[in-house]
Amino acid sequence: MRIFTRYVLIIAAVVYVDHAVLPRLLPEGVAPDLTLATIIYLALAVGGVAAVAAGFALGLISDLLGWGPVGVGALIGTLAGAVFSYFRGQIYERSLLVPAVFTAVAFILKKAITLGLLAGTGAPVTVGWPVVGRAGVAALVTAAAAFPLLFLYWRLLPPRRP
Amino acid sequence: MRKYVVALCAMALVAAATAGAIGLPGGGGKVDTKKFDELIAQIEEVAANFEAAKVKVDECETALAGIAEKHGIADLFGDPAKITELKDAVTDDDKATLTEAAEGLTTVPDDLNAAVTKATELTTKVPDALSDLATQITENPLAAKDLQDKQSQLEAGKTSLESVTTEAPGLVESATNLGDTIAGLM
Repeated sequence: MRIFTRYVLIIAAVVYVDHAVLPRLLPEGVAPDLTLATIIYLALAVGGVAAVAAGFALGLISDLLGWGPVGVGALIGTLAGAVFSYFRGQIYERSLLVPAVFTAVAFILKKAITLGLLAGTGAPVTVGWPVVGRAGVAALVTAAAAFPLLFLYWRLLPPRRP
Repeated sequence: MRKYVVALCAMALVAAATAGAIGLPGGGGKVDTKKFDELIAQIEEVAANFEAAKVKVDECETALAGIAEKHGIADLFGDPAKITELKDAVTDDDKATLTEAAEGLTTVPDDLNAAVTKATELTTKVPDALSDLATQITENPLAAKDLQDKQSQLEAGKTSLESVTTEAPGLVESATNLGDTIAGLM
């Protein structure tokens, strides 16, 4: 129950910051994806079904709040949760660079799928490497900034090592 | 864990399909364009009324020019003396044709003035509708294609409303002059 409460708190905080705070502070096009960084953090820190479920829930919430085509965030969140849970044994949990780089890769994948879907439906989108690359750099910086904060929070969680 | 991952991936796809089916923003479903459709229909009605009035004036002018030509009078509208000349030349059959054509003209000035009033009213609504559409396209990019179609229709409608308000006064004057000319020939 305590862990569940912490999950809910993390999800609520991430959704609020990602939706209400960051878009006001940063220019359009470099809005980072704190949601995906958190999903990957949870997969690395906690792992297992809980991380996969959290990935799905966070992805779906961000989809429903209008940040992307419904389903894409949930799908990427689930897969990111699963992949990073699977590899958490191979990734040193307190390393900053490796999860940050993987977050950027996952974000570029998510961005590419989203832009591809939007372009396929005739939506007005600018698709190109500068857009995807800029988004990737933003995700990398976000992850690098977010992970230390999440690690701080993680110390309060019961540590679970693989 | 694999079964949970598969189940959640399937749920993500179901969520996508459901969002599309019920028309959630971001779901790519059918968007409600009723208010835009209504505005576009009103604009089309005004444009159609204007075109109908224009056709009546054209038909009357053609009928009058045809009769003048039949009597060997060219460039009727540029020379008042030729109208006097035509008045002496017109037959009863010509008069019947001109009376019929002039009947169509009687409602033209009122129709055109009504079209201008309506066009002015609708012109004020178009910018708000376009702004609303732009917002909806941003909020619901998967449904952007439908909304962009409406945007193009509204842009075209805006142009036709502008031409109604610009051309209508001249056309009213033409219709009035034409009616007076025909009356003078009787």
